[in-house]
Amino acid sequence: MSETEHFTVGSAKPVFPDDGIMKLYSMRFCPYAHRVHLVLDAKKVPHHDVYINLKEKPEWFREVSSSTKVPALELAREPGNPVLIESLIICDYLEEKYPQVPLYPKDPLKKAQDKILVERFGQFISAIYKLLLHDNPAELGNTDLYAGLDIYEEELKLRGTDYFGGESPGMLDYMIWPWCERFGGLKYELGDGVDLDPARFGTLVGIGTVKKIIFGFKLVYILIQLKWRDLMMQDPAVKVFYLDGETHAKYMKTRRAGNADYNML
Amino acid sequence: QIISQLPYFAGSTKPELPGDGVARYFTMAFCPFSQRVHLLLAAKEIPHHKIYVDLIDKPEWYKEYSPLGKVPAVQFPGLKDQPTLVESLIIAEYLDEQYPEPRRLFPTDPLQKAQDKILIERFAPVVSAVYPVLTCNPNAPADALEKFEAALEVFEVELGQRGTPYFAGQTIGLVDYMIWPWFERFPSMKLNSQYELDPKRFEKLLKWRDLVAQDAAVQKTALDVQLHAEFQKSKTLGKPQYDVAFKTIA
Repeated sequence: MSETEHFTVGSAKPVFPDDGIMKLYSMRFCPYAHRVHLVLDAKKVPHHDVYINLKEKPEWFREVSSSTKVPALELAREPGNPVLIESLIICDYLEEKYPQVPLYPKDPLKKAQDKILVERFGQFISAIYKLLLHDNPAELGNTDLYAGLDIYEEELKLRGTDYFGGESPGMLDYMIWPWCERFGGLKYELGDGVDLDPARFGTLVGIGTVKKIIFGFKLVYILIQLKWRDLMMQDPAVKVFYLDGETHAKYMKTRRAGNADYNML
Repeated sequence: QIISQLPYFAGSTKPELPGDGVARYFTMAFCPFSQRVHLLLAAKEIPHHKIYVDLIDKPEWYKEYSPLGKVPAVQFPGLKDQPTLVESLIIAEYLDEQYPEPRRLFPTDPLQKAQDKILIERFAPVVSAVYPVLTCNPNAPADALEKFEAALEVFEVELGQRGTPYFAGQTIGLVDYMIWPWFERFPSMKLNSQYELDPKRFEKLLKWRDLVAQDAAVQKTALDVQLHAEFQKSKTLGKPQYDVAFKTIA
């Protein structure tokens, strides 16, 4: 059984030792589930991953998740093993339960403002889904698909820090990352023109500055002033679950064909 | 704690808002999402100016406060940069944290809080199912009320499982306030569509409703069922009549 085998109709519910470790019901390519993976890994909270075939769900999954959606987080140290649903609610819970690596600002107002930006990104997601799932991109015409991203470029510029969260990624960075990671897949399907324009999104993805230095008698080029996307790709929590653009594109193709290849990896 | 009420409608020039550092609450009198915030402002006794916004002919200046032109919005002119918050649940959570007196309305336990948030989220299908009937839409789907009742049953069951008078426990809490606005509106369906909730099927919920109706904050923010009915009906005649809110019931 592969590491990312997705349980489907007729499969038995996986049994885990009574080890007090929570179970995350997920799907390897689901961006909403991705959010929860990021927070769990950022806070280094141990968890078992249980992947679900969303097209043909195992019968036992209905009892796990009342919405039958992923992500769903089954807690192992609470009476009755309650299950939490909704990516943002799960992430907020983890933030409060595991405060050691704080992801939200301490200030309630700043936290509320970050939550508003997360919420607003949700509106941008619907626009992007059109692009990610569209069979014939030519039909999309001249719609400005990235219009919703401008405020994030502005906001990061305004904050003047590497990440929205400051010196390290915060909740806002992680909550929007899954879709930003998937943008890397677009150019495989739709050509280079679709990738985020570094001139327009200079703070998010702009090309970093290259500097020449002499290092041990050799002329070396080092890339300094990495942009947000590059920095995020180096983040340990992001790295755990990261898939490159080509892989995302490959999966999206199967999804568009109505035959999502969950066990692709 | 309403310091002043300023009705502003379409095409108006930006109002002279009071410069006293008091919070500004942008609302539409009949908006249930907006009422959520009103309930928090009342429950926490937070002084505020109320500014009504016409949602059909949105005044241009309003985008400075709420970029997508939505209500509710609350501006805090007394804070640095005079920030405005939007999104009813985000505003409610912020107010609960920032104003812990007289008491916290969300549970402090992270799990209980998450479960309450999930419950609030599960109210969304109730709202979307009943919406066409509530708003007197002649093209309401035939199974709208059936779907509504099925989604509402989740709450009847949940209240039974929790075994407390309020969803939040022995005293009223955020989860009760966040779903309340629609319960205030359901009785208008009796006037407009001759529909009311089955007292046997929703026995616990109706008991809860009567209890919550007596809450001080609920009473401060309530609009009479007749006004709700009239407003919903006005939508079918073209433009919604926002000033129905200012009518006095004889």
